[in-house]
Amino acid sequence: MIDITPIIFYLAALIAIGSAVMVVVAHNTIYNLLFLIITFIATAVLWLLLHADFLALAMLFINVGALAVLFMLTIMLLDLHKIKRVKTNWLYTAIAGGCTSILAIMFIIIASTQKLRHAKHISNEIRSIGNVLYTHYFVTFELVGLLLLVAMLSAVILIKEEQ
Amino acid sequence: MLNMHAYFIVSSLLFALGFFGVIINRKNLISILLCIELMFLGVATNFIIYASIYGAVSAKIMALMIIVVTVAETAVGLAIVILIHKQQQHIDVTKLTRLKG
Repeated sequence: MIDITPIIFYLAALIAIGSAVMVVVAHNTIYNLLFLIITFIATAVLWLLLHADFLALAMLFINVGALAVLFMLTIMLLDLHKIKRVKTNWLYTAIAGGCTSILAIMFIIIASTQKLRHAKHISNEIRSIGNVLYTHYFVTFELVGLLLLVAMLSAVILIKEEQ
Repeated sequence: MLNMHAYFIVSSLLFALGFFGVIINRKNLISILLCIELMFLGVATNFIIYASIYGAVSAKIMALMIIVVTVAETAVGLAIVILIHKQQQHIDVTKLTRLKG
Protein backbone atom coordinates (compact mmCIF):
# COMPACT_ATOMS: atom_id res chain seq x y z
CA MET A 1 0.00 0.00 0.00
CA ILE A 2 1.58 3.25 -1.14
CA ASP A 3 1.01 6.42 0.89
CA ILE A 4 -0.29 8.93 -1.65
CA THR A 5 -0.45 11.85 0.80
CA PRO A 6 2.93 13.35 -0.31
CA ILE A 7 1.88 13.20 -3.96
CA ILE A 8 -1.37 15.04 -3.23
CA PHE A 9 0.47 17.52 -1.06
CA TYR A 10 3.15 18.37 -3.63
CA LEU A 11 0.57 18.66 -6.40
CA ALA A 12 -1.69 20.97 -4.36
CA ALA A 13 1.24 23.03 -3.08
CA LEU A 14 2.62 23.45 -6.61
CA ILE A 15 -0.78 24.56 -7.93
CA ALA A 16 -1.32 26.94 -5.00
CA ILE A 17 2.08 28.62 -5.32
CA GLY A 18 1.94 28.74 -9.11
CA SER A 19 -1.49 30.38 -9.15
CA ALA A 20 -0.42 32.76 -6.38
CA VAL A 21 2.47 33.89 -8.59
CA MET A 22 0.01 34.39 -11.43
CA VAL A 23 -2.28 36.44 -9.14
CA VAL A 24 0.62 38.81 -8.60
CA VAL A 25 1.98 39.02 -12.15
CA ALA A 26 -1.06 38.67 -14.45
CA HIS A 27 -2.08 41.91 -16.17
CA ASN A 28 -5.84 41.49 -16.45
CA THR A 29 -7.83 41.88 -13.22
CA ILE A 30 -10.27 39.12 -14.14
CA TYR A 31 -7.34 36.70 -14.66
CA ASN A 32 -5.98 37.71 -11.23
CA LEU A 33 -9.35 36.79 -9.72
CA LEU A 34 -9.60 33.45 -11.54
CA PHE A 35 -6.09 32.46 -10.44
CA LEU A 36 -7.01 33.48 -6.87
CA ILE A 37 -9.94 31.03 -7.04
CA ILE A 38 -7.54 28.26 -8.11
CA THR A 39 -5.31 29.17 -5.16
CA PHE A 40 -8.30 28.93 -2.80
CA ILE A 41 -9.21 25.46 -4.08
CA ALA A 42 -5.62 24.16 -3.85
CA THR A 43 -5.29 25.56 -0.33
CA ALA A 44 -8.55 23.85 0.65
CA VAL A 45 -6.93 20.56 -0.42
CA LEU A 46 -3.97 21.36 1.87
CA TRP A 47 -6.36 22.07 4.75
CA LEU A 48 -8.05 18.71 4.12
CA LEU A 49 -4.65 17.03 4.38
CA LEU A 50 -4.24 18.77 7.76
CA HIS A 51 -7.52 17.18 9.01
CA ALA A 52 -9.39 20.52 8.98
CA ASP A 53 -12.33 19.14 7.00
CA PHE A 54 -15.03 21.54 8.20
CA LEU A 55 -12.85 24.63 7.83
CA ALA A 56 -11.74 23.63 4.34
CA LEU A 57 -15.35 23.29 3.22
CA ALA A 58 -16.38 26.53 4.97
CA MET A 59 -13.47 28.35 3.32
CA LEU A 60 -14.51 27.03 -0.09
CA PHE A 61 -18.14 28.04 0.42
CA ILE A 62 -17.35 31.51 1.72
CA ASN A 63 -14.32 32.47 -0.37
CA VAL A 64 -15.12 30.85 -3.70
CA GLY A 65 -18.89 30.98 -3.38
CA ALA A 66 -19.41 34.47 -2.00
CA LEU A 67 -16.20 36.48 -2.08
CA ALA A 68 -15.14 35.66 -5.65
CA VAL A 69 -18.63 36.40 -6.93
CA LEU A 70 -18.54 39.75 -5.15
CA PHE A 71 -15.20 40.58 -6.79
CA MET A 72 -16.49 39.41 -10.15
CA LEU A 73 -19.59 41.62 -9.91
CA THR A 74 -17.48 44.64 -8.97
CA ILE A 75 -15.08 44.08 -11.84
CA MET A 76 -18.03 43.81 -14.21
CA LEU A 77 -19.65 46.97 -12.81
CA LEU A 78 -16.54 49.11 -13.24
CA ASP A 79 -15.02 50.04 -16.55
CA LEU A 80 -11.46 48.86 -16.12
CA HIS A 81 -10.34 49.07 -19.74
CA LYS A 82 -8.99 52.54 -19.18
CA ILE A 83 -6.36 51.26 -16.79
CA LYS A 84 -3.12 50.86 -18.68
CA ARG A 85 -0.19 48.96 -17.37
CA VAL A 86 2.28 51.13 -15.51
CA LYS A 87 5.86 51.01 -16.71
CA THR A 88 7.68 48.71 -14.32
CA ASN A 89 10.35 50.35 -12.23
CA TRP A 90 12.83 47.48 -11.96
CA LEU A 91 14.78 49.04 -9.07
CA TYR A 92 11.66 49.19 -6.85
CA THR A 93 10.63 45.73 -7.98
CA ALA A 94 14.06 44.35 -7.07
CA ILE A 95 13.99 46.03 -3.64
CA ALA A 96 10.46 44.76 -2.97
CA GLY A 97 11.43 41.27 -4.12
CA GLY A 98 14.50 41.27 -1.88
CA CYS A 99 12.52 42.38 1.18
CA THR A 100 9.81 39.80 0.49
CA SER A 101 12.35 37.01 0.00
CA ILE A 102 14.00 37.91 3.32
CA LEU A 103 10.57 37.82 4.97
CA ALA A 104 9.73 34.42 3.49
CA ILE A 105 13.13 32.94 4.37
CA MET A 106 12.75 34.26 7.93
CA PHE A 107 9.35 32.56 8.30
CA ILE A 108 10.72 29.30 6.92
CA ILE A 109 13.78 29.37 9.20
CA ILE A 110 11.63 30.06 12.27
CA ALA A 111 9.32 27.20 11.35
CA SER A 112 12.20 24.82 10.54
CA THR A 113 13.80 25.18 13.96
CA GLN A 114 10.85 23.54 15.68
CA LYS A 115 10.15 19.85 16.16
CA LEU A 116 6.86 19.18 14.42
CA ARG A 117 4.54 16.27 13.73
CA HIS A 118 0.83 15.59 13.40
CA ALA A 119 -1.20 15.41 16.59
CA LYS A 120 -3.47 12.45 17.16
CA HIS A 121 -6.36 12.62 14.75
CA ILE A 122 -9.31 14.55 16.17
CA SER A 123 -12.30 12.33 15.54
CA ASN A 124 -15.15 14.83 15.29
CA GLU A 125 -13.98 18.22 14.17
CA ILE A 126 -17.29 20.10 14.04
CA ARG A 127 -18.25 18.90 17.51
CA SER A 128 -14.91 19.94 19.00
CA ILE A 129 -15.05 23.37 17.35
CA GLY A 130 -18.62 23.94 18.50
CA ASN A 131 -17.84 22.89 22.05
CA VAL A 132 -15.13 25.51 22.35
CA LEU A 133 -16.71 28.23 20.17
CA TYR A 134 -19.98 28.45 22.12
CA THR A 135 -18.36 28.34 25.56
CA HIS A 136 -14.85 29.80 25.80
CA TYR A 137 -15.06 31.99 22.71
CA PHE A 138 -18.69 33.07 23.08
CA VAL A 139 -17.85 36.80 23.29
CA THR A 140 -15.60 36.55 20.23
CA PHE A 141 -18.36 34.77 18.35
CA GLU A 142 -20.87 37.53 19.16
CA LEU A 143 -18.37 40.28 18.29
CA VAL A 144 -17.68 38.70 14.92
CA GLY A 145 -21.42 38.63 14.26
CA LEU A 146 -21.57 42.31 15.13
CA LEU A 147 -18.61 42.97 12.82
CA LEU A 148 -20.42 41.33 9.92
CA LEU A 149 -23.52 43.44 10.62
CA VAL A 150 -21.46 46.65 10.71
CA ALA A 151 -19.63 45.70 7.50
CA MET A 152 -22.93 45.04 5.73
CA LEU A 153 -24.48 48.32 6.91
CA SER A 154 -21.41 50.35 6.00
CA ALA A 155 -21.26 48.83 2.53
CA VAL A 156 -24.92 49.68 1.95
CA ILE A 157 -24.56 53.23 3.30
CA LEU A 158 -21.40 53.90 1.26
CA ILE A 159 -22.99 52.83 -2.01
CA LYS A 160 -26.42 54.43 -1.42
CA GLU A 161 -27.30 57.28 -3.78
CA GLU A 162 -27.47 60.74 -2.26
CA GLN A 163 -31.05 61.92 -1.99
CA MET B 1 4.88 10.48 6.67
CA LEU B 2 5.13 13.94 5.20
CA ASN B 3 7.37 16.45 6.89
CA MET B 4 5.31 19.23 8.50
CA HIS B 5 7.86 21.86 7.49
CA ALA B 6 6.70 21.62 3.89
CA TYR B 7 3.31 23.03 4.91
CA PHE B 8 5.03 25.98 6.55
CA ILE B 9 6.97 26.72 3.39
CA VAL B 10 3.71 26.83 1.41
CA SER B 11 1.96 29.17 3.86
CA SER B 12 4.99 31.46 4.12
CA LEU B 13 5.24 31.66 0.35
CA LEU B 14 1.53 32.50 0.08
CA PHE B 15 1.88 35.34 2.58
CA ALA B 16 5.10 36.63 1.02
CA LEU B 17 3.65 36.58 -2.50
CA GLY B 18 0.63 38.56 -1.33
CA PHE B 19 2.93 41.06 0.37
CA PHE B 20 5.03 41.35 -2.78
CA GLY B 21 1.92 41.93 -4.84
CA VAL B 22 0.73 44.71 -2.54
CA ILE B 23 4.13 46.41 -2.83
CA ILE B 24 4.68 46.21 -6.59
CA ASN B 25 1.06 46.75 -7.67
CA ARG B 26 0.67 50.53 -7.72
CA LYS B 27 -2.05 50.83 -10.31
CA ASN B 28 -5.19 48.81 -9.72
CA LEU B 29 -7.05 48.97 -6.40
CA ILE B 30 -8.89 45.66 -6.98
CA SER B 31 -5.61 43.81 -7.60
CA ILE B 32 -4.32 45.14 -4.27
CA LEU B 33 -7.44 43.76 -2.54
CA LEU B 34 -6.84 40.38 -4.23
CA CYS B 35 -3.25 40.34 -2.95
CA ILE B 36 -4.51 41.10 0.57
CA GLU B 37 -6.78 38.05 0.22
CA LEU B 38 -3.67 36.02 -0.57
CA MET B 39 -1.98 37.26 2.62
CA PHE B 40 -5.06 36.36 4.70
CA LEU B 41 -5.02 32.89 3.15
CA GLY B 42 -1.38 32.38 4.14
CA VAL B 43 -2.04 33.43 7.74
CA ALA B 44 -5.12 31.19 8.04
CA THR B 45 -3.14 28.26 6.64
CA ASN B 46 -0.46 28.89 9.27
CA PHE B 47 -3.12 28.69 12.01
CA ILE B 48 -4.48 25.44 10.56
CA ILE B 49 -0.98 23.92 10.52
CA TYR B 50 -0.50 24.72 14.19
CA ALA B 51 -3.96 23.33 14.96
CA SER B 52 -2.94 20.10 13.26
CA ILE B 53 0.41 19.89 15.06
CA TYR B 54 -0.77 20.60 18.58
CA GLY B 55 -4.36 19.41 18.26
CA ALA B 56 -5.45 22.89 19.39
CA VAL B 57 -9.06 23.77 18.61
CA SER B 58 -8.42 27.46 19.45
CA ALA B 59 -6.20 27.81 16.39
CA LYS B 60 -9.01 26.50 14.19
CA ILE B 61 -11.37 29.07 15.72
CA MET B 62 -8.83 31.79 14.94
CA ALA B 63 -8.75 30.58 11.33
CA LEU B 64 -12.55 30.75 11.25
CA MET B 65 -12.41 34.33 12.58
CA ILE B 66 -9.84 35.21 9.91
CA ILE B 67 -12.20 33.97 7.21
CA VAL B 68 -15.06 36.09 8.60
CA VAL B 69 -12.89 39.20 8.93
CA THR B 70 -11.69 38.68 5.35
CA VAL B 71 -15.26 38.77 4.11
CA ALA B 72 -16.10 41.93 6.09
CA GLU B 73 -12.94 43.66 4.87
CA THR B 74 -13.68 42.76 1.26
CA ALA B 75 -17.27 44.03 1.46
CA VAL B 76 -16.20 47.42 2.78
CA GLY B 77 -13.17 47.59 0.47
CA LEU B 78 -15.20 46.91 -2.65
CA ALA B 79 -17.81 49.48 -1.55
CA ILE B 80 -15.01 52.05 -1.28
CA VAL B 81 -13.68 51.01 -4.71
CA ILE B 82 -17.10 51.55 -6.28
CA LEU B 83 -17.41 54.91 -4.51
CA ILE B 84 -14.02 56.06 -5.81
CA HIS B 85 -14.92 54.93 -9.32
CA LYS B 86 -18.22 56.79 -9.12
CA GLN B 87 -16.55 60.03 -8.07
CA GLN B 88 -13.38 59.98 -10.17
CA GLN B 89 -14.05 57.50 -13.03
CA HIS B 90 -10.86 55.54 -12.28
CA ILE B 91 -9.39 53.33 -9.55
CA ASP B 92 -5.79 54.25 -10.15
CA VAL B 93 -4.00 54.40 -6.81
CA THR B 94 -1.31 56.76 -8.08
CA LYS B 95 -3.90 59.36 -9.11
CA LEU B 96 -5.81 59.40 -5.80
CA THR B 97 -4.10 62.53 -4.53
CA ARG B 98 -6.99 64.75 -3.46
CA LEU B 99 -5.80 64.75 0.15
CA LYS B 100 -2.32 65.88 -0.98
CA GLY B 101 -0.69 63.22 1.17
